[in-house]
Amino acid sequence: MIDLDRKARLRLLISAVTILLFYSVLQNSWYEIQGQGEFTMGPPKESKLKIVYKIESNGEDGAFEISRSTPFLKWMASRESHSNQTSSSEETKSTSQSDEGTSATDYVRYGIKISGVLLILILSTRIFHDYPHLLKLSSFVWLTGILLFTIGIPLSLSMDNGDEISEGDTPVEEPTPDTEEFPFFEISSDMEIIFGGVQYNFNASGYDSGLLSQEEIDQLSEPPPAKGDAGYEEFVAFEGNFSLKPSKAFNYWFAIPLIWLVEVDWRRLYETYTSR
Amino acid sequence: MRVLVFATFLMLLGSVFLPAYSAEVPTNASWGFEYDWSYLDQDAEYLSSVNLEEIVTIIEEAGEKGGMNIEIDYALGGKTHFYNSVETSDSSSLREVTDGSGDKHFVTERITTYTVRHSSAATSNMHIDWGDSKASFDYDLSLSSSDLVIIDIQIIEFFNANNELIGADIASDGEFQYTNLMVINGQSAGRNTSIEFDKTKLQFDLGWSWSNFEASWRLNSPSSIYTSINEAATSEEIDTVVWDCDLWEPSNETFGDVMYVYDDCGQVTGSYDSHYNYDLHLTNFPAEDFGLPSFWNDVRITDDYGDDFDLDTSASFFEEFYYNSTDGDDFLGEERTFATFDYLPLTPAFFMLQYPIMSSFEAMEEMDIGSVVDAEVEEAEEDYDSDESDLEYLVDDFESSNLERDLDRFSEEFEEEMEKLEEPEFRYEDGMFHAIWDIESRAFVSYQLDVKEDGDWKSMFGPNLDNLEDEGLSGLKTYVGSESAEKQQEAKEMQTSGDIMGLQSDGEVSILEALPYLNLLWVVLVVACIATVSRPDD
Repeated sequence: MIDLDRKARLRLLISAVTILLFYSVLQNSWYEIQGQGEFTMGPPKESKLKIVYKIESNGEDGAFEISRSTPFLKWMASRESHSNQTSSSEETKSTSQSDEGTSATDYVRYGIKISGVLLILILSTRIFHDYPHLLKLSSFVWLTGILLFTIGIPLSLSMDNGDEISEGDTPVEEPTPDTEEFPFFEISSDMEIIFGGVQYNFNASGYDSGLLSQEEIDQLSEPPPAKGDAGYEEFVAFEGNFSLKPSKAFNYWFAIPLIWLVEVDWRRLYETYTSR
Repeated sequence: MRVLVFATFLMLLGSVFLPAYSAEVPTNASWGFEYDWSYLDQDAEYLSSVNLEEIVTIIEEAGEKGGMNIEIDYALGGKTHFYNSVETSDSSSLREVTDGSGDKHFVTERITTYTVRHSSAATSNMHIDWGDSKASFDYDLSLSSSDLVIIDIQIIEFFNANNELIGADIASDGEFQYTNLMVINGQSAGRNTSIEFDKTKLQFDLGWSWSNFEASWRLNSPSSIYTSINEAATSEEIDTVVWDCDLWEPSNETFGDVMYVYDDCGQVTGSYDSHYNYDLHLTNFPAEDFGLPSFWNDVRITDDYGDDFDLDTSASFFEEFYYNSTDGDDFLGEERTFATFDYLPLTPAFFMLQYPIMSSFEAMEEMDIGSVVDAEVEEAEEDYDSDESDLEYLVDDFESSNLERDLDRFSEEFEEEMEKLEEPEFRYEDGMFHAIWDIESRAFVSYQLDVKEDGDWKSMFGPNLDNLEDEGLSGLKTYVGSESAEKQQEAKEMQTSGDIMGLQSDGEVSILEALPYLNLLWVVLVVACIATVSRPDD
C-alpha cells in the first residue's frame, strides 16, 4: 500500500474534488440564452413568449413556451400576411445550414473538455511529483476554461447561428417584421450588465397590416395611436428582453480553485504576517 | 268568556283568509345513482356484446401474423355520483319577494339541489416491436388519462298562495378537468440511421369552470305553469303543456289536448366567474433527429384565464311537458299519487344555468385547440431542415423493408377475426326517461328510466311506478329517499379525484425516493475531506 504524507493526501483530495466538479460541468448546461416578453397592445395583448436555448457538453437543448396563449394564437390565425419573408427565410436557412462541418461551438466544447482533462492530469501529477510551476500551469488551464466559457461560447454561437437568431428561428417563428408587414414599425433597445452576463431589453411596435385593409393602412397616423384613431385596435406592441450568460456548469468550473486553498498553510502564513 | 269567543271568532276568520299554499313535497324527496367505472368492460359486454379483452387478444394475435410483437394491457377505474333532492321550506315562515313588476308577494320556497361528482382514470400500456434486415422499430407506449367533474346547483323557486311561480334564485359552481399523458420510449432504426424516443412525453390538460354563480329570475307577473302541469297530471282532457315564457301577456289557451301557457318572463340578474385553462406540453422530443431546431425539444403552450361577468338580461325560454301516466306509490316513504312526464330537469328554472355554461363553451371555442395543433404542425414544417435530419433515410429504409407487406397481413388477420365476432348490437330497442310529478305538492320530485328489451319494458332506475321487471348494470347502484339524501350529503363533501373514487390519499412519498442523490454524494465527500485533512501524519 502506498503511504502518502499529509501534503500528498491533500493533493489527492484536490484531484478528487476537481474530478467531481468537472463531472458536474459535463452534466450541467454550459451557457444559456433566455428571451421573454409580453405583448402590451393589440390583439395578442397579455400573451407572453419565453424561449430558452442551452449549450450543453454534448449538444444543445431548448424550450419554448407561450403562456396566456389564446390571444396570440387567435391573432396568428386571423391575420393575413402581406409579406414574402417566409420564402426568403427558408432560402437563408437552406444556405446557412447546408454546411455540415464541425461548428465553432463544437470546437469550444472540445477546448473546455481538453482543459478539464489537462487540469485533472496536472493536479494528479502533483500527488506524486512536486514539479515547480505545476500550480501556475493549473491556474493557466483553469483561466483558459473561464475564457472559453465567457467569451468562446457566445462568440462561437454568433458565428454558427448569427443569421438564424436575427431571424427569430423559434417554433412560432415571427421574423423581424418589415415595414410592409408592420407599417410604422419601431424598435428601441438597450443593453445592461446583469449578474454573470448581459441583457438586452427591447420595445417593438407597429400597425399590423395583416388585420387592415389598404384603405385603413392609408389612414394610419404616427404611433402611438389614440383610442378612436384608425388602426388603434391593430397596433401591436411587444416588450421583452433576452439575456446571455454562462449557466450552472460555469459555476462548477469557477469553484475548482477554491479547493486548492486547503493546501495553504494558514498558520505559517499568519505567523509570517504577524512577525513583520 | 266574551273575549274568548271573540278570539276564537278572529282565529276562525283568519283561517278563512289564510293563503292556501300548496302541500309540502315528501320528506327526503331525493334520488340518485352511483356508477363504478371499473365495471365498464362487463357492462359494455352486457349492453352491446362487445368484449374488449377479446378485441385486444385479436390485435395481439394479428400482430403475430404480421411478424410483430404486440402486448396491450389497460385499466379503467373511477366513479360517477349524481344526486338530486327537492324540499319545501317551512310554510309557517313566509318570505317576501318582489316580482319583476315591483309587486310584493309572500311566498313559500321549494329548494331543488343537484350534486354531481365524477372522476375516472384510464391507463393503457402497449409494447410493439417489428424488424427485418432493413428496418425495425421497438416501442413502449404508455397512455393515461383522467377526468374530474364537480357540479353543485341549488335552485330556490318562489310560490305565492295560489301556487303561482314568482321567480327563482340559483347558486352554482361547476368544474371540468381533463388530463392526458402519453409517454413513448423506443426507437425506429434503418440500416444506418435511427431515431430514438427517450421518455418523450406529450401532456395535454384542459379544464373550465364557473364559480360564485348567483342569479335571480323574477317574472313580471306570477305564472300558473305548475297549476297547469298539475292539470295535465290530473285531468283527462290535457296531455301536454307548452310553456312559452317570453314577453307575453299572461294567459292560457287550450287547443285539443294541448294547453299553452304564455307568460311575461321578466329578467335574470346576477353574476358569475368563468375560468378556463389548457396546457399542451411536449418534452424530450428528439427534435434534432427530426431536423427541427432544438427549441422543439420542449414546447409548451398554455393559458389559464378567468373573468367575471354580470348578468342583466331578459328571460326567455320554451318548455314542453308531455304527460305519460299516473300511479300511486310509497317510494318516498308515504303513499302519494305520482304522474310521469317526458321532461328532464326537475325545475324549469334550470334554464338559468345556460349563462355560465354558454360562457364556458364560448371560452372553449376561443381556445380552439385544433388551431393550436395545426399552427404548431405548420411551424414544424417550416422549421424542418432535411439536411439536418435522418428522417428521410429512415423513411427510405422502411419503404424498402417488408413493413407494408406485414401490415397488410396484420390487417387481413384482424379483419378476418373481427368478422367472426358477434355483430355489436345495443341490448335495448328503446328507452324512456321520465320526470316524476307529485300531484299533492305539485312538484317534480324524481326520475325514472325504463328500457325496452325484446318488446318488454323494464325498469332500469327510479321508483318503477309501473311495476316492471327490474333491469340493472353491474356497476350501477341507484338510491331513493333517505338513502339518496345521505349519499348526496356524502357526495357534497367530495372535492378531489381521490374523494370521488374512494381512494386513500397518495400516501407518504418514500424518503429514499425524495433524497437528492447528488447532494448525498457531496455530503460523503465533505466528510471524507474533513477526515483526510484532520488526520495527522504518522
